[in-house]
Amino acid sequence: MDTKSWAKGLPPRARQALEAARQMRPAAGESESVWAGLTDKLPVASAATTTSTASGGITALLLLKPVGAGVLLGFITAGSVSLLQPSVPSPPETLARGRAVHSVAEPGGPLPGSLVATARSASLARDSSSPRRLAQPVPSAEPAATVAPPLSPSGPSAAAFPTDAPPSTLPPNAVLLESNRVARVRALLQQDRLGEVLNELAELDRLFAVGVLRQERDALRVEGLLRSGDRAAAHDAALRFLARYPHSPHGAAVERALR
Amino acid sequence: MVKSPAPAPAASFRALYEAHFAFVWRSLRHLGVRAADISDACQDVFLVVHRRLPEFEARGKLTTWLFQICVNHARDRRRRAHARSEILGDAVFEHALTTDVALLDPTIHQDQLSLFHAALERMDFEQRAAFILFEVEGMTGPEAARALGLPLATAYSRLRLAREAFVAIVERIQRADQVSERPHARRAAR
Repeated sequence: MDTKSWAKGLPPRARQALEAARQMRPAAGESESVWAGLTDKLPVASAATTTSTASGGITALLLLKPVGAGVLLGFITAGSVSLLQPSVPSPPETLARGRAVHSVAEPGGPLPGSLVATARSASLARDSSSPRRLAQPVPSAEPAATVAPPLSPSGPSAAAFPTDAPPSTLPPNAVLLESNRVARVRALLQQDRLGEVLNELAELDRLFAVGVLRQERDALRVEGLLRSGDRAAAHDAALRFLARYPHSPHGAAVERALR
Repeated sequence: MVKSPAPAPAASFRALYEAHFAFVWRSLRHLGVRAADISDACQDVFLVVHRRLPEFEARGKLTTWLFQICVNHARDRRRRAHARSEILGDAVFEHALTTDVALLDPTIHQDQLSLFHAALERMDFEQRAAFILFEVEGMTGPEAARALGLPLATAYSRLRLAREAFVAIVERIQRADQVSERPHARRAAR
């Protein structure tokens, strides 16, 4: 049955809902707004010939150029963090102005060398947004190595991923690696193995200096310190957390550490 | 060493962007990207487009290629969101995932669009994509099948399942809305 005939036979609310979806349009000015942010991230040659960038755009280009492919990891990482901060403008907007590059990495410094290698390998995996068919990969669009393995319902087993590899040799599925390790931290917390919690978090900071789950790790650190009895360190960690992630959904839980 | 293709010329890329921004924006929203994330998602998609455009073989429509990029991007966002919710086991993340929390609240489906997205969010992702292509974007069977990477018959079969799912889910949501309204009616009557 063709679309018109089928839609005519729908119950009223379903038909109205479908019609609303067909009529859906971006708000006035949204195209321009997205374009302004996009031009900050385009390669220098393209950006120079497109519309003028917003203030700070040149700074962003200077900061992002040396990282090269790591750009994709940077703003996708920031984009992922934004999933947990629904009320905050997404970090890639600030990334375009260069500031988020510092906020995502260790504070006060440029992206560490290990991050560049991590970013390059992870960016190949994150390039899974490249065109490929839903049912099968497009053979000519990208090499197979750039396709990240899908998550299985129960999650990949820890044995499937090397968990102690230095950052420069991390496979493209760094997000899965990090998530496995964070899951282990939660399990250790539940078992009250607090010394191991803090050691594991320190190791994760080394392996994933700019990780998708950095915020979660920092929140777990506050909890781990609190439960281990080190209230002073927990207090300091909580203050740093709240300053770094002012709109975090973990904020309420972290604030309890300050009381 | 193989040289990577030169990036798309600026003027033509801008023209492509203007011509297809609404389609990309709408596709991403219907595929579940939240309103709060849509600007970033659009930028991500067009960055890929910019990088890959020289490789695009213009045998089919550009929109089918763009939709594939949107699907992959939306799927990646969902996977990352699911990874977070599995790790943290926090109800906030279970609900947030890639959708606005409001979509899961049965008491606020007054708005037709939110009803539509709530229904799609409960649909199998692959069926959702087929439904969007056929019923929202009005693609022909061959165009949609190409975008989905499926044989034509399979694409139609998936559409049939998607249509059945859409009707059933909207009905379920409406029934849930009616049930949730009853306590409100009782309180109002006191």
